[in-house]
Amino acid sequence: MGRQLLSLLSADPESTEAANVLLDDERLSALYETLTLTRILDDTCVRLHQDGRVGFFVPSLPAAASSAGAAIALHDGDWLFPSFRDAAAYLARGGRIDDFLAQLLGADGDLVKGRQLPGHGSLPGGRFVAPSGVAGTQIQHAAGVALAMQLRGDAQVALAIFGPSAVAQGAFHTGLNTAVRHQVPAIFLCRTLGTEHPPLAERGSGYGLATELVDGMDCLAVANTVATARARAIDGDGPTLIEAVVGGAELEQDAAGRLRGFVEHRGLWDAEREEAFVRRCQDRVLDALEAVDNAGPVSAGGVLQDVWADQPWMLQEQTARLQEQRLKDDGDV
Amino acid sequence: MSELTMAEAVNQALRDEMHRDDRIIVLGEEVGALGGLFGVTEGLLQEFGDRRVIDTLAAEGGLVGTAVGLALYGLRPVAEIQFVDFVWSGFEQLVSEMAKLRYRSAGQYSCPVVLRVPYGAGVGGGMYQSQSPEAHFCHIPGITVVAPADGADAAGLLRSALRGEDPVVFLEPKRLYREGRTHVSDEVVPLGSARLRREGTDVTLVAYGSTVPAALEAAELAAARGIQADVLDLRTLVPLDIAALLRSISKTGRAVLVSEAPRTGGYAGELAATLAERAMLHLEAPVERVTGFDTPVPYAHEDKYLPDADRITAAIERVANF
Repeated sequence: MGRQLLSLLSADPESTEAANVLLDDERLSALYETLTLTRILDDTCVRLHQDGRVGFFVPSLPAAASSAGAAIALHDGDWLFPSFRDAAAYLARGGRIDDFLAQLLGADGDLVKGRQLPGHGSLPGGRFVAPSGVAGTQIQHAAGVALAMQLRGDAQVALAIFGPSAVAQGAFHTGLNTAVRHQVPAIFLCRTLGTEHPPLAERGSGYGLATELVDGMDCLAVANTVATARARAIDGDGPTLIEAVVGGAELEQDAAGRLRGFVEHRGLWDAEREEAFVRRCQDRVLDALEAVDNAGPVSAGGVLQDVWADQPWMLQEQTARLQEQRLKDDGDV
Repeated sequence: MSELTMAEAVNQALRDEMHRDDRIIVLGEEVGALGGLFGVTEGLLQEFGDRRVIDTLAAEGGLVGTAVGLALYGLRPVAEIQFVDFVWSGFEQLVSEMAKLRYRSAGQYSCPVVLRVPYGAGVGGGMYQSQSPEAHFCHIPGITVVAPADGADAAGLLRSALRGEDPVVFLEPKRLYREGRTHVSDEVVPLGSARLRREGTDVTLVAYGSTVPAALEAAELAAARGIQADVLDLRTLVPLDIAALLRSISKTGRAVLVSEAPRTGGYAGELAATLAERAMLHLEAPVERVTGFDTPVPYAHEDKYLPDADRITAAIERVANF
């Protein structure tokens, strides 16, 4: 009750500066660029959806600020378990536009071979772990990966991002319990509308977690909170639950626009850089779309692979069936 | 090496493999100081410490999900579910995550978790400590399902499971944990290979896990009546050793399929369908299933629920004399 919502960005860059921004200039620029690229990519995806080329698309806004802010505060070797609204985190963790669009459109070259819904891509090495279609299961995975990091003595953290529907699931309860019991280096970031009752922050205290409440539309506040939670986790002080409240008057405002004044104030950005960067992003998106068109649809050949490491006889047999069927279909044409 | 019970054999294999591979982590409810509900993990905490042997909370969803996380990071978790009957709260993680992570990430991630799961009736456990739900696991693409029938096989199959790259549900027939001893070596038994435990000419008796002893007993009773049975112990349910099954059927032309699970939708039905598809021209009699009933396991009458040697022998006779 009465917990203060942490906010950093304000119309006056000086007062933001005074609030002790933890990101260095390199990460600040990367954050701004990620948000800008996310907006351009989002616009493209919405258009593709309206044109009927993508059947299912969940826009990144208004999740982009918290998604990018959290991801940018991570270090190499940290693991990120995203929700399905985390295109910004995908880009922040090194995901390529080409791969994102190939996945979105089910094109050949899709890193996950056309198996997942649009926006459910994956990057290896823990950078962005393939999200499932089930709410909240990744909370428990982050606790497990963080336990593994602790057991191996690796100074890294695991971050899970999820929404309010996950809070109602069993994995929220078991995941937080597991994390607290073993005091693992995990961070749980829940985007809410700020209407949870009782507030999420109070529940976190009940589980015995450090809990933070942050303006989820303020990418710098989210980055600061995750960076602080990360430092605490690395120091062996256990997991943190972060409630990032999304909504309010800023809902329609684009997250990059909100950060713009501050990066300009720092001397990291200006109108000329903006114009060049936006043009480069738009070109990259257009190139990627062209590449996707040239590549054609993802091959059906991968449908029966990667179930087990090696195909057991049943799948070998089913692969042969599928090939026969495809030859027959081709013959009919 | 030595003559061990199945519980001791599993313990021995865990110990050996933990020495061999420091990525192996044993976890579960009371697997540490208590040594597991059936004593299978006894002594491991003392030998390997609490960073290798971890007591978890009493929540199977948390247990399976934690094991998934450990495996994603590159460790080799062996999670013990106290009774298979408790697995359902972990089923979400098992079906949606453990089994699908390799596929949905196109091989970027994998989940080499071994779930050790005591199963089956015969210890007076009532309907919540006695079930045999292997068909549920067999119906999940991506899961290898193993059911050994003695200590030597349990140890050898567990070594394979721990050295593999995929999730394995390792069904341990708990009523056999302390029934008899076998010679346990460091042999690795490949997954997906059945074992012909008795050779005959007239009928093929197919069993696995907990029902193998009753099948062998029935084969002796049938032999006394002049019917010689092959007894094929499947050892792995998924992937099935199809070659061994067809080899035996093409010799005998008659099959009795034994499983203590409820009949409808069970694994014996999968075997029967496989024979209908692939062995029809060899079959000289209808295939018979000897199974549990389509009921929960009744506490005071589990002896009537379980397929015993008499029921199996009667089926052998019907099939042989068709």
